[in-house]
Amino acid sequence: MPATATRMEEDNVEVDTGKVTIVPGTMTEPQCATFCLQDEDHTLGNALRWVLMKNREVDFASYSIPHPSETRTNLRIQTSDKTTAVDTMFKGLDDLSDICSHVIQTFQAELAKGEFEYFEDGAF
Amino acid sequence: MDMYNGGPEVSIRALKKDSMKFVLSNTDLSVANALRRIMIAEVPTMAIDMVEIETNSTVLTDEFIAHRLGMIPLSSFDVDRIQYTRDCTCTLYCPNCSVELTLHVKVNVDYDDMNDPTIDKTRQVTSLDLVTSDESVKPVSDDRAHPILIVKMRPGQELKLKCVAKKGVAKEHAKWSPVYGVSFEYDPYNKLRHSHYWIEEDEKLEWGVSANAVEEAPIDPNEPFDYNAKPDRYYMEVETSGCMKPEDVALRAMTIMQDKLGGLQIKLDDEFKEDTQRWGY
Ligand SMILES: [Zn+2]
Repeated sequence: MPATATRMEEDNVEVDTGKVTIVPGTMTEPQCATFCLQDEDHTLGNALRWVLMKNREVDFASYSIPHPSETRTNLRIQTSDKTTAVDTMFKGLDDLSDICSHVIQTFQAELAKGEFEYFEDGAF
Repeated sequence: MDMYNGGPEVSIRALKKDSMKFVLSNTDLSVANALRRIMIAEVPTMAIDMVEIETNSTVLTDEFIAHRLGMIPLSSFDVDRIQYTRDCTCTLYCPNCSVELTLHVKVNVDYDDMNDPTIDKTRQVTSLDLVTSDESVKPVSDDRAHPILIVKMRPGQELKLKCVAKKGVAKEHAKWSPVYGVSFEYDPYNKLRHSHYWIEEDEKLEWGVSANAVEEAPIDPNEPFDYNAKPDRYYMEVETSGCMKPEDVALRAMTIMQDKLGGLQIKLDDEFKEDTQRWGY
């Protein structure tokens, strides 16, 4: 089936979403690195930057979107000698995920409690 | 982990079928903004993405009608069951990654009424004329008296087409957005001075406070400006297109955020396993 074969070739060259790479030359030592997050934007970049800065071992955390027509975000981390940039990144992702879980839990608890104005229909 | 002062708090103020008011507090602006951005642009829904037109003798062109069909909100309560076409094994579309809707309207000429100007012969083709192949994905219109108008036809005209609805996100096209609007406010008294108002003569007269101001203490004129203060209460209101429940949009947004983070962890693990070994950590 030639049609199927063509499709599969197309699939192989498809852009890998959610990819993380290191920007070449930015990891001069394990305590610093600039991560390039493919297909991410301010949504994750800014929240991740905040959660990283909350970490005491982080000396510097910042993000930028180098070009508006390229869907990637650069995230720079510099840490103290007690940890590494990659480990810090792992912790940042974990911490932000925990915050999300917490929001989901409190949201569901709040819905279950039902202590709000409820309208089946009509205006507020 | 330490949840940073007990973690975020959520308080729902009002809930109705297609909108919800809530207050998110004790968290950073970036987290609240991430929630807002994901609700608008990254919660998947169903929308008509391909239209095969067989007959169109209406006054609107094929692409005009195709565009209008794309804008019709489709119920997406069961969207998780459907795959993205890019992840599907099929070549174009199949029942696993799409839902078909058909429309066939032909207005017959009634010669008896033809010359009677008192009879309205215009046939309104609406979202109610779309016939879905899957009851869980159909045009949102509870109010049968006010369905969504697609095109108006006169006697003798015919429209026959097949639509393919696909799963997608509003980052790709706004038609996939589950929300019509998300309002987002913090610091209604502008204590943080993040807003710079254009003032002609009197700020208080020209710029009234918002409805959310009742939740916060008014400005004490004797209090000095606190340059360390940060926003921590966010007043949000979500209005959906009716394709999903508003509370589900918010909850889904948070799980999408977690999925993104989890995905990044997996990729990071693959990418830097070797690097960390090289550095001896
Ligand atoms: Zn398919």
